[in-house]
Amino acid sequence: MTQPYARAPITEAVVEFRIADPLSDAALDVSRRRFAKRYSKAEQLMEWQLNLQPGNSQVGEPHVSGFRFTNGEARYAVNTGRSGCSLTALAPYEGWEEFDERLRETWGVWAKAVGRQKLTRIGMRYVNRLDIPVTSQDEPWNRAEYLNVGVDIPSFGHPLTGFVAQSFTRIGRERFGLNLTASTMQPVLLDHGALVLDIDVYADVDVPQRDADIWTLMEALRSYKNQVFEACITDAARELIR
Amino acid sequence: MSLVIYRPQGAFDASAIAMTRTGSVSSLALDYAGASVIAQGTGATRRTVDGRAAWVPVSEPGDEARIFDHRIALKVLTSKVAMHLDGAWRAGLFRSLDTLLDGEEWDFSDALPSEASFKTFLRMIVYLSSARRPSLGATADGHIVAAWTCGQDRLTIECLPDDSVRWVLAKCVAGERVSGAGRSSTRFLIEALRPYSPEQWLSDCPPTP
Repeated sequence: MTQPYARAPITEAVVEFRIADPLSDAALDVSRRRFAKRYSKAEQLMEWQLNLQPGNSQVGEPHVSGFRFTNGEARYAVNTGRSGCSLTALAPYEGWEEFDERLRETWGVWAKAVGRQKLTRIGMRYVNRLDIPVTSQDEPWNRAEYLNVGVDIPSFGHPLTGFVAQSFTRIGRERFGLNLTASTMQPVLLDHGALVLDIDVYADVDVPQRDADIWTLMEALRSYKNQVFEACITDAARELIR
Repeated sequence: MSLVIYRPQGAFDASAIAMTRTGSVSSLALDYAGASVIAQGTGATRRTVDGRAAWVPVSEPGDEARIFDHRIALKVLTSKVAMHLDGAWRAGLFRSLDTLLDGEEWDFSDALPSEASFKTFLRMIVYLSSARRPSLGATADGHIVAAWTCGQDRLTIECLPDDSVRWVLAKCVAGERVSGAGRSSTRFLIEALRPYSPEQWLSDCPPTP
């Protein structure tokens, strides 16, 4: 099926595989070399700890926490770290088929590089941004016209100028977790407001370990993610992205 | 990201800690005894404690790597508005960026086009709904320049940070060469250009016979 919306509001689509035991230096390095061959830009991710105390401030030595690879068109990025691997697609999102193909390739490269690892979480996160046209930056607009999720507060005489709403729940007969965040954000376009709908669906119970089961799970996560998206947006929002 | 922590006077022995390049703070804890920060960063990361450079864990990228990274960074910025750009338009823009930011051609004494200027360019392009793709250039101080031509007529817009633009144009009106120039916010650009019928550059230019 092709992308149902001509202007898909997806700014970021991420699938993450998380593992039980941190990868060794050697395994991390093999994954780095494998992805470095396939991606144009490689970055080393560093992590360091700073402890600031009166008279005794310490700055820990940095250590490599992983690598990030970006392709030449800046459409895809792979993160490989000690705790797992993720694939990110940036806008324009060209539909599930293309993403799924890249995802299978990424999984194949990573799994071969690091060997069999116990998966503890598989997550699918889609960040959507709705650009709401307004005639001026100061014009008030109503969140409820576009999103079925948000916050309602008593009227204090002025319209709500910003909000963040976050919820955590289980879906799919409690098989999956859902982190749902809706918020306003600084508009990206001139004379527009912006709403973010961040959908994170994940499996953290009975996480499949075999390839065939992983792809079956992926279809289920995708299906729930789509259901959540459609349940959260209004017809006015659909008109904006059609 | 750039993180700078300043201490209250006399409280800490590290007077300032600064991290440059990209990165993010993944955890931050503050209490009466002090602060603990776990931060993540990418690429070359420089730390300064008490005003002295302490280490550079990854070597600074060379010119070629720097311009390549910059090209990718501008393409990532483009992704923020990609859903409002036609696919072919976006592909053409990327080709222009590849040509403009070619490591073999670029004069490294010039500043690379700033992200702030490129952001103005992207917001302007979506705002103008320009069906025609401009050619791209850059000023020595890092501003993106977009130019449209239609026959002998030319419109050039320099994109400054914060949605501000400088424009200059030249066109033939009834056989006479007319030129104009101005500076405005992107929002008022169309109004400013209206006397010169800007649609000829942005959408309606007939193909050259």
